[in-house]
Amino acid sequence: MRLIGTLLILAWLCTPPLRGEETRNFEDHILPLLREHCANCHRPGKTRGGLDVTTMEKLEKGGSAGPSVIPGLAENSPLFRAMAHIGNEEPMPPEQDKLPPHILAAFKLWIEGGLKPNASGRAREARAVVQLTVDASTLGAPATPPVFIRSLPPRTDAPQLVRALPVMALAANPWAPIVAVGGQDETVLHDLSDGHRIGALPFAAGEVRVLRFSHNGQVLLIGGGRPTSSGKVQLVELKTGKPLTTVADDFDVVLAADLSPDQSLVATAGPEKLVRVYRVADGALVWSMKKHADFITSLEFSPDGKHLASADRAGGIFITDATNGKNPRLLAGATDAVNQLAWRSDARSLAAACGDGQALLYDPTNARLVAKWPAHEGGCLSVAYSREGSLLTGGHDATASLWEESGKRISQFKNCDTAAFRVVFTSAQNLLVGDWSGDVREWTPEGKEVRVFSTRDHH
Amino acid sequence: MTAHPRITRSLALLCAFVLSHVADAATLRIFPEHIDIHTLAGSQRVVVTLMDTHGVTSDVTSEAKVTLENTNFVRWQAGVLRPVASGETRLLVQHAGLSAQADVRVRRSVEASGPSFQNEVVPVLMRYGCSSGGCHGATRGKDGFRLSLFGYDPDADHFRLTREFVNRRVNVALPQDSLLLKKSAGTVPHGGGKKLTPADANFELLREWIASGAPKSPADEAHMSSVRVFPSDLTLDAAGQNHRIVVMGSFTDGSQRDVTHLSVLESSDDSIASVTRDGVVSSHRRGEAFISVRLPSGISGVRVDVVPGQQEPTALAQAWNFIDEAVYARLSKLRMTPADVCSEDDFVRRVFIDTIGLLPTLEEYEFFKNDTRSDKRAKLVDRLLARPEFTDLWTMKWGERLQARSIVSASASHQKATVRYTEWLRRQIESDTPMNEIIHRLVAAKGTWIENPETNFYRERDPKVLMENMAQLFLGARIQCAQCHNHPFDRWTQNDYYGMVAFFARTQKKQCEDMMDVLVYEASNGETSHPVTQKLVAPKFLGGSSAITADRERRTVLADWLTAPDNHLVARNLANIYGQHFFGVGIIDPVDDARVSNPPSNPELLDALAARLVTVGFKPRALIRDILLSRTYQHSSVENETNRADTRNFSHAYPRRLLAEVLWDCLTQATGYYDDGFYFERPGTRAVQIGDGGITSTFLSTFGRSKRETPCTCEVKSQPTLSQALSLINGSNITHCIERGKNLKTWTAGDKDPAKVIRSLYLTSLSRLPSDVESAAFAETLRTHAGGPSVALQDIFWAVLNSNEFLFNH
Repeated sequence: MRLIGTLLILAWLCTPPLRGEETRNFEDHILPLLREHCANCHRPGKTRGGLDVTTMEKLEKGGSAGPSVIPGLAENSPLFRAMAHIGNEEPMPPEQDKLPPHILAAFKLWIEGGLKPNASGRAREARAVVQLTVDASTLGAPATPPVFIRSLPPRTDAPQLVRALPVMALAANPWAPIVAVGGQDETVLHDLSDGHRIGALPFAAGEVRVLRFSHNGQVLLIGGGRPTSSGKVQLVELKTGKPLTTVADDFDVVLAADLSPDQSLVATAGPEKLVRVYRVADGALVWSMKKHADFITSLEFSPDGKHLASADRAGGIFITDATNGKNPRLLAGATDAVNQLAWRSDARSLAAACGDGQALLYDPTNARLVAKWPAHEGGCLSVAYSREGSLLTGGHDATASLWEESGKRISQFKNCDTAAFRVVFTSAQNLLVGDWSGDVREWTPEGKEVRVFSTRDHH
Repeated sequence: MTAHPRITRSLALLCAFVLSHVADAATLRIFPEHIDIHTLAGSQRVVVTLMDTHGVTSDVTSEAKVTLENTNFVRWQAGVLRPVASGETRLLVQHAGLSAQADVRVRRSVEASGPSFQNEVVPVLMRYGCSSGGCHGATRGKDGFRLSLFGYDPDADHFRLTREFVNRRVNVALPQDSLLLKKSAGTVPHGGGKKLTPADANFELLREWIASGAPKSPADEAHMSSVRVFPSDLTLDAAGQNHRIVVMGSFTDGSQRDVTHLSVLESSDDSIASVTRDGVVSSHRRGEAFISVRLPSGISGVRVDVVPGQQEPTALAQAWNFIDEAVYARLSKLRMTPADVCSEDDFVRRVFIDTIGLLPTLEEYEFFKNDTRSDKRAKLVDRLLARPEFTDLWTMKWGERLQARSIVSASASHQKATVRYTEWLRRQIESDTPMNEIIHRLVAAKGTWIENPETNFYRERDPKVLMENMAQLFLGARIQCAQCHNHPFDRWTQNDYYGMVAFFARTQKKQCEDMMDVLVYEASNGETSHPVTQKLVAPKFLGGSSAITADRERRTVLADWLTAPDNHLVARNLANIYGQHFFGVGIIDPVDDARVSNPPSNPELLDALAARLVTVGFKPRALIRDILLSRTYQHSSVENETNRADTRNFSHAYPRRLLAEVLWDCLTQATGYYDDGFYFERPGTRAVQIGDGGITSTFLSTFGRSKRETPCTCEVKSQPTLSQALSLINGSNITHCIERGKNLKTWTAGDKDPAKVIRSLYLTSLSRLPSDVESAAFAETLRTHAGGPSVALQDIFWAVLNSNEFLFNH
């Protein structure tokens, strides 16, 4: 696997360009190019994709995919990415060869030079920018497992808990033996190879509601906040345990979040019933969707990065285009709250855990319900797909079950306390189940209990 | 008609002997008298009440000298007993030379591990309105959070609080971070506002429950089965007095626990007596109030009379019969002097309108006035009760409640069935059939609508609606609420509701060959299932035992129960219906809304009337005769200083607007207007005689004629509306009747003296002669009217018919 840019952070503060250095401005250089190559579709009266490129303000405002240029960072600006055919952006101009290098260079210079409006105009200061984007088309099993931190300093400011929290958030790294468990103001990491507790990553924003590892296993997304007050998402570098960036400033706790496979977008949602998609690079809100009628419980980017699936407590499931929120499609059939969604690794099946106890399977290509079966008495709470396509569910009956896609049970796992809130597969395709008491149990698919990670030990 | 027994006053005295409320000597009491504290965590409020010789109660808990025989088990702390160790002792109190005592037992049963979800948390959520219908108790919840209405489903509430969004509403690791606490204390935005403060004991209760892991109540945990309040009656001084009350819950383990701090306490009238959350009742002004006490598992209440306590109870007025005894005992306690007996003029008009729905004619008026017998009023009552118009009036009254109405649509017309239904009802009333027999025939009815008209009682199909209608009609209870959850304002539960529905589960209908007819029959099978448990429910009498139906038809078994002489629910309801008609307000009002939180204004009166109805074999004329011959019925509507504010205790007559149909009949009668008939009825039909709720006129609808679409008393509307005022003043009805009616023409033709015409006009419309002031004014009008005397007379007639004196029975 080759990464286009190695993971790097640029706290990139643009200084005004040096005197005598070649600069470009909108009025003299960029507008003529835009008029020649782009304005046929993106001009007043014909704003394809909502974009009008004929004035500086409108270009900056961008179209349906949010702001089109980020001062100082050409390769993160959707405008440049589309022209230079980088990433998932639809190539522009459409159905034509890429624009010649000198034109691309002019745009790059203008963006990196701070978006000067005209010869005498002031260059804009660049915002702090995070560069995390990877080429999603090359994702797969890495040649070497991602490096992860082996111990974290003990916390001195941990909140005094009267008992362990239920396992509200649980994630296992896809390629490394590491599990993350959400807690109050922190995320606890355990090493699955020897069971040792690596330590806790503080999360000052509040309780941790959602944990996701990036597809390459190098970044951990931590989402949560304080109910009815604030919601935040933090991205943490696993190698160092250091925060990379914080996105979202929602008005209620983040109940659902995901990082797109190419790591350019973060989606968040919760009691506000609103799906928000932010750009990782600068934290800008790219698009939002107000389709859900109830608390949003789950958000999942498809493994190919093309779609975003979202589900709510009233049983509504939608699939939309990931980059701009267009083409929302309703996946009908859930008669109760949908508690979690999971994509199969080939993006050709979507599983849903439903509050009426059923596990549902959809074909996302045509939005059809293809299978459903009763999985848990009292409600199905969680669902996960293994790499091979078997399904793991957890429910209110305090059990977890492993299923074939036909709905045939392979094995069942008991011993949970009250309810199995979260289920995931480890990198070794073992099973992890988090319950009401705060315990996380690891089982082999054959049903052998490997280990219990208890958050109770630390409180 | 003469079959009903003549009741002498002495017989009536035997029927009900009403004890005076006024104690001969002061008494001291402790509430509760048996104190049983079952864990060391619980405590018990205690109230010491002194009732003085005037019957006024006062809370002397803090003044009384309190002694515990043994102080090792409990401590006394400002009106609260706090347990120390298991054991038994006695609590002695002394005050004003009196003493009282209570047993105290402290039992360490189950050591409480933390607050109970079912017995404490759920009541707290109800107490602060969280689970009310306007908030999270709504069907769809509020702002994403749903609770069962008033906590009828604790399991679902536990799920929503703890599991639906784990750790959102309750945070077992950091209890103070729980949204439940933050929202209730208003530290985060909350649509319902701030409900509790962290200093509040109930806030601490919620916090402790969360800190103990937010556990659900175990299935075998004892739960509350009923609620009682001590003292159950209070008589407070209007000068402003505080009195504490104690709410006791009876639990399934036999324990009695103090649940005052968990109850919803509400006063029916805060301006008379208010109540605090802590159970302190305060009196403000003279009157009566009901303090209702609600918990998820029951409802109870305290009757509070606020009286001028420094005054001696009023001397008992001279009672004419058992009705007056009950009324005057109550008035004495309330320090009210009953009104004088009304004049002959008032009586003759009142009793005609109430009994036969017509005004006395000139001849009838004069006959009564000239009657010199001492029992002339009783003689008049007997004549009226024998009149066919009495039958007309009560056929209408019952026809309204029994929904005698035809629905005319393209596919069906039940006019013939409706006519038969009304005729049947008329025959029953004409022959003075006992009401319990009528009820039995209706409830157990079988056959076709036309052949067996009582089967028209079964017009609806849904057994739930059939049961609800039956209960509202014959038991006077609206138990609809209990279909979906336990009744929030009455004692009925969902089990009671479906136990009653089961009686109607086999009632079936079938279209007859005659398209206008329908057969009502009992199928051999058919069951009712409980919506929550999904189990079949056996027939069970409301508030009674399970019905043994064996091979008998279920509705017949129900009819037997309803009409048994010892079914006080039915006798009280019927007595109240007749009382309401003649007194103008129900003892329970409205008459079809009896519930714990809507108690009778005078329970002794209601019981006495019900007992009398049973004694006379459920024959309405006999009971009505007693009512009409009571001094209470014959009170003047003129108030005195003491009873001016009274609206419920029958201290004076309450003027009431004539019913729509009676108003029209009196209007046509006074003017001599010949009505050429309502739709589908014979010419000359009086409005009272219209036997079908589907037939009406603009006038009747405007004045609130019942559409007969439900058995609710609210179908008849008597409240004034703007359209009524416009109809009378600007509308053509009255002028039309005056101009087309024969009376004014006859009077003017027969006598040229306008003063004599006015005299006839007054006697016919108002059953009295014009006063001197009125006569002088009319003389002036006649002299100066631009249109001359004949137009002036029309105007005077118009003014009389537009007066409240005409429109009201008084």
